[in-house]
Amino acid sequence: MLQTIGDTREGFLCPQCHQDMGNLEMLQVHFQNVHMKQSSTVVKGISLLFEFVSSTMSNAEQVNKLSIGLNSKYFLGLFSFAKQKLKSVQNNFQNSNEPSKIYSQYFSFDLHDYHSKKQYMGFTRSHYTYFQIVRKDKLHEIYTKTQQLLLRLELLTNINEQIPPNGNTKERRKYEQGIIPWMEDSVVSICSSCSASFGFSRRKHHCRLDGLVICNQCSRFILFSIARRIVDSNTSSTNNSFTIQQLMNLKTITSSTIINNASNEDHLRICMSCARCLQNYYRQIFFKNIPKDEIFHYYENIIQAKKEYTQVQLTYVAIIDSILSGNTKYQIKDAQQVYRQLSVSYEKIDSTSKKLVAFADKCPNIDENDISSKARYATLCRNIRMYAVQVLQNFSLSTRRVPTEDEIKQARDAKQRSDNELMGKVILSIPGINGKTLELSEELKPFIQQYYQVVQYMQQAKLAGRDDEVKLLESNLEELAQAMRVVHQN
Amino acid sequence: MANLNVIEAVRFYVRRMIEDCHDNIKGLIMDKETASIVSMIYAQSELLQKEVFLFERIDSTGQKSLKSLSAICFIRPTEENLETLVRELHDPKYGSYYIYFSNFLQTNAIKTLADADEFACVRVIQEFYADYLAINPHVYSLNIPTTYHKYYEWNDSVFHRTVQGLVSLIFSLRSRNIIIRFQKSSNMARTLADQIYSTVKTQTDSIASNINDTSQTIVLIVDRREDAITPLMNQWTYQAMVHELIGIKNNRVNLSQVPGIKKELEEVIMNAEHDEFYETNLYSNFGDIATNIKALMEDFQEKHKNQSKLESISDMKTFVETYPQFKKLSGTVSKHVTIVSELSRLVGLYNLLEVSEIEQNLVCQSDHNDIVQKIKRLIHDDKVRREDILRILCLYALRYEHQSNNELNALKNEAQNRQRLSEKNIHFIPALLNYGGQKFRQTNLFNIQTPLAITRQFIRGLRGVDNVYAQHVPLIKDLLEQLLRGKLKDTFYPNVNAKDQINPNNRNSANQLQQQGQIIKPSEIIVYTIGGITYEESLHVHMMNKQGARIILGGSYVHNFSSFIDEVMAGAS
Repeated sequence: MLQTIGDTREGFLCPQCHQDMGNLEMLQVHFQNVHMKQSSTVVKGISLLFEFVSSTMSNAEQVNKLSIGLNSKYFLGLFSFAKQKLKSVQNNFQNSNEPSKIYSQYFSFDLHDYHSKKQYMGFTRSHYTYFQIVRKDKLHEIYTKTQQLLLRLELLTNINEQIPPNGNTKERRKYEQGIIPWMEDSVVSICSSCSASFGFSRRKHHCRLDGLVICNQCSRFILFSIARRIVDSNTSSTNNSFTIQQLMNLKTITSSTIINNASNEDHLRICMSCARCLQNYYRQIFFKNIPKDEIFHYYENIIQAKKEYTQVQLTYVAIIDSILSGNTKYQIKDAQQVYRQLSVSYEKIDSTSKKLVAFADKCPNIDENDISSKARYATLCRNIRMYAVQVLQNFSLSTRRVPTEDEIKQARDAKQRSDNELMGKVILSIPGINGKTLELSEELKPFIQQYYQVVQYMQQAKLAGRDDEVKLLESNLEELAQAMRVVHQN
Repeated sequence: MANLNVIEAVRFYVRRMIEDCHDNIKGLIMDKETASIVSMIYAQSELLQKEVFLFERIDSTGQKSLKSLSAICFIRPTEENLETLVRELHDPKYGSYYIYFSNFLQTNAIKTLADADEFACVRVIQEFYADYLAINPHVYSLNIPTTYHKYYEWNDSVFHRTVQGLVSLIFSLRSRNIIIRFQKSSNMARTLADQIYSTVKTQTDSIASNINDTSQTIVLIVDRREDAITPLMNQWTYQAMVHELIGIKNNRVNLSQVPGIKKELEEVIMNAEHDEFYETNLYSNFGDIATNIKALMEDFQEKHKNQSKLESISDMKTFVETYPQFKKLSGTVSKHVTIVSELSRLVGLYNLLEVSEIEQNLVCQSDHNDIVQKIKRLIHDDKVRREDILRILCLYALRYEHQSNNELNALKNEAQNRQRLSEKNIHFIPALLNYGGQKFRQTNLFNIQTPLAITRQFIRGLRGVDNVYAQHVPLIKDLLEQLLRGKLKDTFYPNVNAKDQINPNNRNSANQLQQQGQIIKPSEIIVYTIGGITYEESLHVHMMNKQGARIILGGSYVHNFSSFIDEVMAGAS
């Protein structure tokens, strides 16, 4: 699709498919064979309209009859008939060529509005302040509760350091109850979660985190290892990334049944509301640690390259302008060097965005079955590529190629000529110097050039309104003229 | 003085939404209605240039997290949207959310959203009042195809939507001091006017209390039932004609029924904002368009000739540089050529010139016997479409509703005998008489009584009819002329604010002026038509605006004949 700035741009490119055809003949043949047919379909459509119009004309007797008196040979058909009869509705409104503003008198104009002649953005209303107040309260509430639970969780998972794992169950229970007092069994007759009454088949259990009485169905279980990692992610800053890495692989942190894994690991029974609170906390960690998707790195690269291009382009334009106005400040190789820089950025945008298109087809890290996410991801990649293509198109249209030696020579000659012309005029204006004799005098040349420059400076100073400078330069000129007269007389 | 422009008003909002989000990659989340609102004014490629890379519907966002993306949500504050948004905030896919509602938000809704934002992703909650479709600079629509409920009354949801839409329009144009005039004969207009008045009054206190602006906006609320004629007529200006014969929906025109249509032209976008030819020819009449399209074609062919003569490398370079414009031009040319040739095909196929002439004469002339003969001839013309026969019969029914020598039944029978009138269509005629008959109307639609109409008739008599297909002038134009000249009668179009004058505390400068017998000059006029507007009315308001008026015209929908049938029938059952 896209042509690049490199060498190929100066080859025999087809303007439509940008293939290099090698030589002019091949290119013409290719263009006529492949593209002329395509674009002529539109023209065909137009000629169809003409055909249609003329066929209407010949077939519809009635129309012919009605259009007697119209001697337009072209477009003599339904259209002209319609046009003749349908004098524009506008005629009803406009009597002369200039539309009179007859209605203005009925409207008042806001003075402020009137001066600026401008429409302003409509009213808006922000609710963010109130939103933030409510959210702050809510987040604070969640934070307090979570911190409390995490503290208890930390103490509970430390149980093995206090009491050996194979120790007395009673003592372990006492330790647990020391962290959060358990609700008395006797005062509870229904599950605090599902409100079903306890009985022979529905036994009472305690949540280790808040001490509420719950049934087995409403219990969740959290492994010590997971619990410790969650606690760690909250407290320790060291080793954090490793802990989080481990956590990121989990879907949920609690389970509804006791998992008997190989090591027969310790676990805690907790109620659903505590489980939910921990799960939310876990999701917060998860969300914070979602890595940046690769496409965003690519995108940032594109933006970076775009910035570079825009910056370098400024220099490039200045160089080209300078060269083409015949100045000798820059050489052709300066322009070529900067042009190469531009090409590098251009290439970078092009290749990076092309990689994104490849991503659109692969959709890495997305579940095979998640079609909507895949489609979204692909659209995103393709749209970024499209954006890049637009950027590149603008660049290639706004960047002139490096001028050829011939063009530079022409520009310099032109400049030389106009300089000489000007200088000739200046010389004639120098008081006390005869223009004709001057041409022979080599000694005077540097003076004249100097004089010419000062005249130019003075013009600039006059334009800018720097009167002091003008005066100074005027005296300079006077001195120069004086000096020249001296040399001339010698 | 630049006129107020509804397209610009919506554009302001959307542009601000995008510019206020400084993050790099942006996604735009919309609902069904806001998606139409945005698509009326921005092409996707334009948004792409502003680094908006993803366009999603709020009800179908994906699963995978795109945390580095910022979401700009532009949605209507409906129950469903709020619920979906709450779910999204509980489980955010985007890194941050910039939320803009197109209308007023209840305080408890803000609280629900704030409670849901546990991940603290929300950066902005704002109301941006772009709750209407901006069709042309002076035309808007609320995109409600059928307004009327049983026996021509409001139903709650439509009423709510209408109030929201109209108030949002008022606020998007920065109007705060409004005078509402409404059509007295319509209960719906009265209810709407009252609600608009109180809503604007309560909301301005918190939205624009610090804005010191004394300019007055007149809001004129009318009911389509007062003028049931305009939607019945065939049209001859470009935009109106395309809508009448093919149909325009959200700036899209479906050409799949056109014989031999090319695949890429089956659906085309007709947006005057992005199409120069369309913009200049929206209001040109059919004959002029043919001339203009010929010029366009010649321009194109000239360019095409140049393009095909690619002999040197420098030709090639010019080609590359002008290619984007060339391609755009070729798209425009093929689109308009297709449409115009289709229109001319239909005009010839259905004998529309004759049909239209009879329509115009029916409405604007008064030779009863002559017209009955012409209608009879039309019924026997097999080229004429059934729906055009229905139009004519409807116009006849309205025009000669209480005429003693009314021949409606005879004409109906004749049409039925010739099988030119379907069962469904027979029911439409009495329904239409009930909808917009003399019993409902407060002024005589076909009257020759107003000074304006008399003048027009007089001039016509002097000059002769210069355009038989554009004799009809919609009622709204007369109403607006009367309103501007201070001649619109309070008895027919009362002012909602009138009761405020009794209360001395509420007396504002406008009322004082009114009491001193001065006409208040409005800074602009906003028209809302319950039951929809037509492109013919848009054309007339456009012409007035060109002559210095500042009028914004809109309604529940932009009707053509077929959508108008549905509208009338919806209220009848």
